[in-house]
Amino acid sequence: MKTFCIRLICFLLFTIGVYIVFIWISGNSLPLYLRKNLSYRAGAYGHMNSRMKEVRNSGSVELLILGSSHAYRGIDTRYFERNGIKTINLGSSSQTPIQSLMLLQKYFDQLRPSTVILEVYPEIFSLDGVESSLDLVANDNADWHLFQMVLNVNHIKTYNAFTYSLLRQCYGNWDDFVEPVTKGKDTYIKGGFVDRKSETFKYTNHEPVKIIFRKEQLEALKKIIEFVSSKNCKLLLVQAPVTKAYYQSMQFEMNMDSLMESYAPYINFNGRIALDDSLHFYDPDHLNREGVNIFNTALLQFINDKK
Amino acid sequence: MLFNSINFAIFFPVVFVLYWLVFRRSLKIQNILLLIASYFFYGSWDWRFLFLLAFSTALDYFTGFQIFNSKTPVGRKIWLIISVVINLGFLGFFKYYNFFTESFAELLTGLGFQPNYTTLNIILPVGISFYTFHGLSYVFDIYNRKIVPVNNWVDYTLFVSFFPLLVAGPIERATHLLPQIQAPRTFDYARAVDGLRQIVWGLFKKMVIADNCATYANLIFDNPGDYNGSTLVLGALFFAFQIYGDFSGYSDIALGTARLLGFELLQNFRFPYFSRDIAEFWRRWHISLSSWFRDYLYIPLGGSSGGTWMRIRNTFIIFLVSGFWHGANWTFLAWGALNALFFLPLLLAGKNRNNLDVVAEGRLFPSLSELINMMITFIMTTFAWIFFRSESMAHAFDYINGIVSYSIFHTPQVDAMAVVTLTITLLFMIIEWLGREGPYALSHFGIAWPRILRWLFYALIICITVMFMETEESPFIYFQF
Repeated sequence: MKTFCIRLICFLLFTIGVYIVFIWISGNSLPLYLRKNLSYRAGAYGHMNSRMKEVRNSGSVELLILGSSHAYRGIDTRYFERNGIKTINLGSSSQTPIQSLMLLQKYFDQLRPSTVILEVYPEIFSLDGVESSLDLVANDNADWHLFQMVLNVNHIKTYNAFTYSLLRQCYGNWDDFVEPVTKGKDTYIKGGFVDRKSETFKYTNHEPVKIIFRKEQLEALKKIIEFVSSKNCKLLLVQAPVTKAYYQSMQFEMNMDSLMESYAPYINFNGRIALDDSLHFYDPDHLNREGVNIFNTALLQFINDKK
Repeated sequence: MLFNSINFAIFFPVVFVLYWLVFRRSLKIQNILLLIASYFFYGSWDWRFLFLLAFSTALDYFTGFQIFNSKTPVGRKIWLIISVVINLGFLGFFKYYNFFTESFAELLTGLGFQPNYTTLNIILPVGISFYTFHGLSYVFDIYNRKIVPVNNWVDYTLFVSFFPLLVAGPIERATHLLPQIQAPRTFDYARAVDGLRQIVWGLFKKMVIADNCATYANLIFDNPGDYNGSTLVLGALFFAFQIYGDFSGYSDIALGTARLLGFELLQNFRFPYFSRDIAEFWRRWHISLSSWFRDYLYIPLGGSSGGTWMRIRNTFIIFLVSGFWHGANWTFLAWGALNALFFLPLLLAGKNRNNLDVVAEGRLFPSLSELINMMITFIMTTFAWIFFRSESMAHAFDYINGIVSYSIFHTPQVDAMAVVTLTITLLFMIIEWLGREGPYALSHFGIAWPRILRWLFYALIICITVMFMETEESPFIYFQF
């Protein structure tokens, strides 16, 4: 029995070693389809790589924006700069409160914002946060905050990506990716906003979308509120507008507006500002340039009202 | 609690440590520990099922005594009938109530009536088909005077509910497992290592082969109209490997887990896809169920001892019952009937026991005739799997219609990951081939290598499992039976 236990422990340690080598070789030499559970793609979506590089070198700001693609595609940092508010947008694709919390804990002391806007897109509460975590792991440096987020998400893909990121960091080549400023129709704007070439949208039918509020996401949201409050900072929860038809297709498990209002000052811009489904969006849920202008004007008014 | 879950990865080491380190001196306490662990394991699905399991166990324990103590053959038979009727009654209610109600209503509708019927929203207790058959084998063996009733209820309850085999077999026999429960067990290093190896291989089969094949099998079977003939053929192939990887993987984990605890369970699979005819396939696929039906149904019906018609009748009965055991759907009956039809020519020609040995034993490659026979058998079983996998008979026929078309010569409509899955499956089958002379592939393959190479090989299997496993939790197919 003793021999069995000792050899088993040795074998497990040996396997961990082999696994680390396996991850390193797979990540460096295999195409994505040959490493199914190692998804590590620097700069894959929404200029995350550029955004993270910028935040690492950024000084203090007045306004910090967190949230999903509706944050980094809908809240134009230039507009707020023009109105005298130094802003940084740390939105990322499908960012859930678990990732927002990590970003906040990691960068708050460096950025020292007086106001934090957390964009709360309903669907993110239904997500497990794996995709967004992978995006962050591949574009931010591996540290204790990132590790805590990986543990929180608890998924083999995030563990693998984190291990690979750590190895790259040890090897010294984790930050060698250079992201083009313009990718397809998207251009990265200093401050974290992604500008999309002006487009309009022809609406097609949208399948009903069930909005479920996952326990772990609501818990992360509560932690965000506690964290921001402990820093004597103001937190505003904002639901960015989507097309009317898309908004109507959402089937909420519970009343989201009441739920969010119970946490912090909150505004739902759906139905509150005059937007046309075709003229002000480029897809069912993302604003085009004209839509962004209208939304940002209303958002600034809301921020000023809450001062 | 699934074998391929974090919960089990915590649960089993705890049981293992308590079993071998804390309670190793007392067989009685070891058995009580295993019993508690088994009920905890089963209760983790739904605690309400525990009452059913306990009732089924108590029923067979009690009727076993009554059969044994009955003074007259009539009395013995009455108690046997009581046990069988109640056991199968429960099984029938939970598994077949809706099927019979709906089928009867359809029949009446077809005859021009307008039946007013209701179906029930019944949750099928996981593993009910398996533990019912466990218990019945005990009662039958007492009736046939092969064993005497067990006096210790802990031992008997553990026999029925032993967690490695509780939810999907192998379907154990009292004559095989009970003596192991009653005898003191000592830790055996070689057996424990072999158990671990079998668990690793079982997890690979389930998490890499079965779950990845399932992605494509489900996609293609769910929308057969969207795919050309060659893709539908691939879909059937994916399902053939899914069900093999899933069920034999489960069996490997069950056997390996039991070996770590000092038990030897019945072998359930012996490389069935290397069979040279359908009869050999059925001696190698789900062996514990086939032998259960052979001993408790086929032989009591007269077996092969009667005339030709009796043999044909008994063969059809055993295959149809086997099909129906899998689930309440005409597709399972069709699958059973199809296998009976495949089996029949061998039976009539007296060739059903031709291939009792291991194919190409002692050789690396099979002969051409062996290869052709294996391929034909594999094609036949894969064809039958189409019925097994389909939701309805219409679905199965649509699927087959889609295959039998010119589009079978078109390029399959699958992505790069499907090709990767097929390649891994091919490598897996090569290892299975190389290890086919043992009870499971890794028991022979690489066993003579130096330790460092062996460890590297096993570590790579684990790495590939982690890299390619499906991340969505997927239960084993046979849990639904």
